[in-house]
Amino acid sequence: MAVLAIALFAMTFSLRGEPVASPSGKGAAFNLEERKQKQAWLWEAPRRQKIPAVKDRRWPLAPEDRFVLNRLEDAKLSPAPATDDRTWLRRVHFVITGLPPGRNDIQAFLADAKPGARERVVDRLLASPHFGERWARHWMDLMRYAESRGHEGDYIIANAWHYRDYLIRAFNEGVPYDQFLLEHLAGDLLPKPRLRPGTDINESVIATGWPFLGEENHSPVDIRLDECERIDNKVDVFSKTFLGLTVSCARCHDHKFDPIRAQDYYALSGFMLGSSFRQVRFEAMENNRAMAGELAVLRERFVPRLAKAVATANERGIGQIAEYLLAAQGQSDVSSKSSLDPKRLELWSEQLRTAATNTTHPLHSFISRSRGNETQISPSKSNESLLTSTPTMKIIADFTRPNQQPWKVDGEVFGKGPLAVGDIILGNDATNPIARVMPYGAARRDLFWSGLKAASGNENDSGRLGATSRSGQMLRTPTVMLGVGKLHYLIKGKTRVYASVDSHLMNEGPLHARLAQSVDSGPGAQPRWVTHDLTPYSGHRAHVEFGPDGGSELEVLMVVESAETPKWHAATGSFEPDTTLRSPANCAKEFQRAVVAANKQLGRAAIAGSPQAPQQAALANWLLKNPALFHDGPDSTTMRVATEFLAGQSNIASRVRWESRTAVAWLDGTGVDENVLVRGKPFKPGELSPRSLPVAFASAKPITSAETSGRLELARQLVDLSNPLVARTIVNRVWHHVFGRGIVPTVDNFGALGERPTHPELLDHLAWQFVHEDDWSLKRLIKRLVLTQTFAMSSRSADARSEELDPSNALLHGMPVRRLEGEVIRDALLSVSGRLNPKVGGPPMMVHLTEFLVGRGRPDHGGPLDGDGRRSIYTSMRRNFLPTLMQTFDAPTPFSTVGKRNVTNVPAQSLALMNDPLFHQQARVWAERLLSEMRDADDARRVQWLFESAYGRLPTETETSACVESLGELRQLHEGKPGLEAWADLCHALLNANDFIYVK
Amino acid sequence: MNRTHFNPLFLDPRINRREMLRRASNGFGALALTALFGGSVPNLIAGAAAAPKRPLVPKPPHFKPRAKSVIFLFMEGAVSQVDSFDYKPMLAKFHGQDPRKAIGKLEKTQFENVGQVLKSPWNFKQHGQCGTWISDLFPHISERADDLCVIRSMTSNFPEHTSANYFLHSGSGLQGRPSMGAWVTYGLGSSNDDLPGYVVLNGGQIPSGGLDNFGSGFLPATYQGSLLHAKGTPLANVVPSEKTAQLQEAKRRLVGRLNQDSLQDSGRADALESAIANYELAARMQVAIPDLMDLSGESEATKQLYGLDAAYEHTRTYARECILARRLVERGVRFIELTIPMVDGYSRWDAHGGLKKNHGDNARAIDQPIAGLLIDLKQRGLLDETLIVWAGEFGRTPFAQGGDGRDHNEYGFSVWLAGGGVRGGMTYGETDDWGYKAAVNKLEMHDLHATILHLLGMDHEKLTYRFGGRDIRLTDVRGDVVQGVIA
Repeated sequence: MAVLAIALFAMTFSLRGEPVASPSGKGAAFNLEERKQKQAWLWEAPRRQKIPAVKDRRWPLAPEDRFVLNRLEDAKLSPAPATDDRTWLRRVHFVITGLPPGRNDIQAFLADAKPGARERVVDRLLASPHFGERWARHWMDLMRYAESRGHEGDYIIANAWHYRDYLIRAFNEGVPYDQFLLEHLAGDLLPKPRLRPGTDINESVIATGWPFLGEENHSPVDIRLDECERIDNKVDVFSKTFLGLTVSCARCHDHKFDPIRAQDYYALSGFMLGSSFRQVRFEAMENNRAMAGELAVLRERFVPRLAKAVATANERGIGQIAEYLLAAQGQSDVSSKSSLDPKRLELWSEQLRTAATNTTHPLHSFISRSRGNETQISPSKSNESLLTSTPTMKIIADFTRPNQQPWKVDGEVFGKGPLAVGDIILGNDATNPIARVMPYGAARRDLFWSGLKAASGNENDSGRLGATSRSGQMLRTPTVMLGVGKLHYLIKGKTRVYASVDSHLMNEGPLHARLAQSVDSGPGAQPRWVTHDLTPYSGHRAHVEFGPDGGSELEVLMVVESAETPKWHAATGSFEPDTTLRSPANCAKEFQRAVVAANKQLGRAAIAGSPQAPQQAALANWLLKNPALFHDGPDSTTMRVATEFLAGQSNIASRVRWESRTAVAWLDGTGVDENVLVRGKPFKPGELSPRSLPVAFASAKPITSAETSGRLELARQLVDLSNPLVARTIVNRVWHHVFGRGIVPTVDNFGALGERPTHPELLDHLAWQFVHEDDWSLKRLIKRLVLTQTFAMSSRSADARSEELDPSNALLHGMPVRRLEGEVIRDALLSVSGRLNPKVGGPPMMVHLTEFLVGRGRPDHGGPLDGDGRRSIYTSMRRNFLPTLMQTFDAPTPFSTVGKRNVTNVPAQSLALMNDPLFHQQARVWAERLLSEMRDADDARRVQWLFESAYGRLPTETETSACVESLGELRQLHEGKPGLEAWADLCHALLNANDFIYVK
Repeated sequence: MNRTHFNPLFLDPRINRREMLRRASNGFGALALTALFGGSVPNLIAGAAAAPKRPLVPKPPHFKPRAKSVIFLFMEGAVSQVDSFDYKPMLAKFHGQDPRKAIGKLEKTQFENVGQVLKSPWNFKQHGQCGTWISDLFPHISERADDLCVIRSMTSNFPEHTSANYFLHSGSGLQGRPSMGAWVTYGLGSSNDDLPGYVVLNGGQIPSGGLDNFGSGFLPATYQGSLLHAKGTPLANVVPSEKTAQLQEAKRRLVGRLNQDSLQDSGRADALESAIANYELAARMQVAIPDLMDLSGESEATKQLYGLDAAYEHTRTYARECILARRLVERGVRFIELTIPMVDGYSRWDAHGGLKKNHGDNARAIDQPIAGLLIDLKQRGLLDETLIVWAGEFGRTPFAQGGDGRDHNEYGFSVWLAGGGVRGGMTYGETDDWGYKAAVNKLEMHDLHATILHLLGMDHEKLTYRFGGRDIRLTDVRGDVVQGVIA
């Protein structure tokens, strides 16, 4: 076996497979340009559009109206007449905030006679915190947002709701869409993350939680296939949401129609594979990063001063080393002995006794040699650490030398990189302020941070990851392909290790328990190898995560894969006397000279970087551990400087944010390029597909960095102005939500299999304006759209011809009648009854459990029937226990991106209106409110009040009399009991009418 | 152009009656067929001539059907084939031996706790005229051997419950795809105006993967399975909340008047009209469901036939489900699925240990009721037009897990069909000598689905729905109709 210095090893990122024939090789050739040509409009960036001329110059209010009117005029259709103020107000309220206008809102609007009244309403609504709630819910449909992982146990996704609140804040604060997108793809990598206004809480990083909101299997039999499914879901969500493309059908073959190759699918997969999961300490991370910076500066300032003070103190007795050594050996004469302190001499004798048996003692060779015992001498004379290489050995991470692999950590606990041999570690003891001089290089847990905690109420991860809090205290290796699968960690101290194989994280079942381990190097002073047997995962991708274990120290030196336990020899710290010097006196003097030299280097804080660093570090540590051999106690200078340092350190500690809540987020890893998997089969790897946007995009450039997942570059390429889809996709989504139908109706698919835009020029006009004039502001876009004449049209067509010629209303000859979404119906119910709790954000309100929400993983407790009056967006989203009422009204099952919800019309909805206890409960609350606010009013006036609250309009005379009549009947049926009962029933009936759940 | 074809009317509120009638003017049948055969006429609506008031309106099949309804007896947790319908004498011969030596190389299993070759604790005998081998695990069902078409070469793609349940139900191992009951109802509608088209009778056990096993996925929600509890309140919100019927009626009258007034005021009114129709249907369901659930009109003989008087509580539960299934068939409901009772906590048929007790108890619960259902349907002349499907999500290993259990095995297992165009008294396909892997006429899940659709008169390649840019099928891009099982 050859002995090689570690430095000779090159890091290798082994990636699977040899090139095989491209899956697209067969049949008709894939012609990218031809395919782009077929949809030429789509693959060119939107250009500034000419505003079309129209005949009816008085109708349009905004440029957008002219695009709509132009098409209508071409088709010889007339736009519907303008709707009345009350209908417009109800419509705009639901579009912007998802809540109906209150009676006060209506009165104020109707009383505002000055020009610009509508604009003032829109501005008020866009400034309302409820705007963010409404639009966050739209976005959550795209992100298949849920708070549990489905499958058998429906395990929770701890702290998922911070992502929901992030969305609400981002929409409310008007974060520009390009920034929003950057944060979703690389919020953890932005050089300057966006902070929550007025705080140092990192907002950007929370956006990166979306990849982990999908399903996870707790014990997949085929762990790699399971990963492929998870990655597929992330790619699907990513491409549909941001690009309006279905890239995931290119998993098995090139797309049938769109210019998307199988390679493009796998090129996107690489971005997902190069990053891993964490719970990020988003509240504390920026503050603590600053504190870590201050701490580093403080230490940098004090290390030289303390080193100098300590070395100077040592100098007091360092000149007598040889004398004591000889005396302790009984070699000196009595006269010189008399000048020695007998107590100190006894300490020296003890040192020699220890050194005789302890091979790592600096005096071991000295004493062995003086006794002429050659065999005791350590065989290694190298002053470099050595790893014995074997044929199967692969170094996954080497922290004993700087820059051997990208430094990937979560938080400040492991500092900015591995420590080098000779680096000085300061301690907390003023009398002995230097705790240690690093005898080898290592990634070291800085115990300054050992007080980090999760804030109370913060949820623990599900499964084995939840066994410890690794948040902000984790070190990870690069991602590699496992070979023999036996991993060996050279560590000192204790750690909890997670071997992330195939990015499996919901680890709870019987199959993959071994991935999580508690590892301890034992009581010895030296680092030790501990083995993590992952042989069943040979041929799988993996990286290793090291987290803290209690308050224990932890140094990670190396992570090596090898069939046998590797052999590593620490650089010798033992003093090796020159073999030519046989006289004990000379040996002793030489030892003294070596110690003096080491102490001098220590005093200059210059051991690191010196060629004799390991030896000097060993001597320095010996000096530091045994001050009594040289002097009687610490000197005042050392004490004074140390006290000053410790005060500085305490000051920083007092400003550290020790507690933090955590959010689900990406942790950037190393570059991983995926192979094309032939026909999507995980174990049929084909050619390598380097990370990139699909090549159909002009801005696509391969991303080659091995140091990072490459997401930041990907994000920048995406928001490049040449990108034809990013802006079109989002403006189309907004149009869809405002007008009930996208300009491209298939909002998640602009490709060949999607529908063509009804107004292509309008789409490009909006996209161009959004980017170039409105700075990617969604609020400005929404404001423009709701202030158009188009939005102000009645839902009643101008004439029968329009319905004849434009039956699907593709040309927007009027506003569609729309049923409210499930969430909005419930929110409107609470709002109308007066029960709405306007609190924004916070942990989810547990779903109200009924006998119909049953199955494995059922939550221990449910929430109250009315959900404490909170808006529906705050109801818990447990995948296997989704709120029934929302499901009944077509809330999508969170499995992948759904930009356009179903709008069904089924009897179960009517049954819910008729008999769901929530409707009855709220009808009664509403009736109570009516009777207290309209105490002295007659029936007709009360009916008016109810209509205005529920429908935003006043009743017609027929309606009033129908209600009053019905009320009489209800009173009779309640056997003449006065008041509440009959009114509650009347209220319930009003909530059952179409006008409550439809917007015209 | 709107490319969505076969798009149910009630999904699109923008289509008005005039337009609908105009399009339907060449005759409803012709139109519906165009839709069924993949015509891409814009906004083409199946059953367009029928008003949106009846979203489940029966739609013509692609060709003459052999079955009108389906009863799917879902054996969740996976029944062991070698202890029920797949007799393997080799297991007795090699009992207690190392399966790696006896059988050879083994596939990975869920628990990787491979024990010895395990013979069945049940005895096998030949039954009926046909002489099909069935174990005495099912004494009642085995008497109906001449009605059964036992498929012994079924396979699945997933060895875990959740994915395999989704796969069996929806042809995909992922959550959120339409269940076959939803597909069938989407394709054929249902003949009952007062009940949903796809009904799941819940015996207590909600399968792994939850209610999404019965979901409509991207299909409209009308088609999703409506869960009816066999015991207790059968359906959410179906019990009127008002103290008296008159109270609800009074309110309904008012709602009706308000809705009519509001309708006058609206241009594109079809969505509103449809909602009005649903409100009326919902009111009818409040009557139809209790009527369905009320077994007081069943004769004592019938009740006993199913085992409604059995000593074992879970037999009684399943008997109730089976009678309800027949009553649903009689009422024209298209697809009925039964989940199993909570026999052994959450264990289902999932006998990782204690095979004898687990399978024994589960069989005790379902055996008599299923035999009763077969007899009763036959007596009433309904078996010919009702397809019975008995299947779990996969099978179990012929070797033990630990000492006395069996692990998951997706490589070969048994399911059976009966009634509705299926040849009774036959077996189809074989596993190897061990009952481990399908060896002759191996079937995939998509083949089973294709065959079920075929028996209902549908071409599985033509029953499609456009979602996310693709025309999606229950059978993905696979599936062959198994002609050999068709009478």
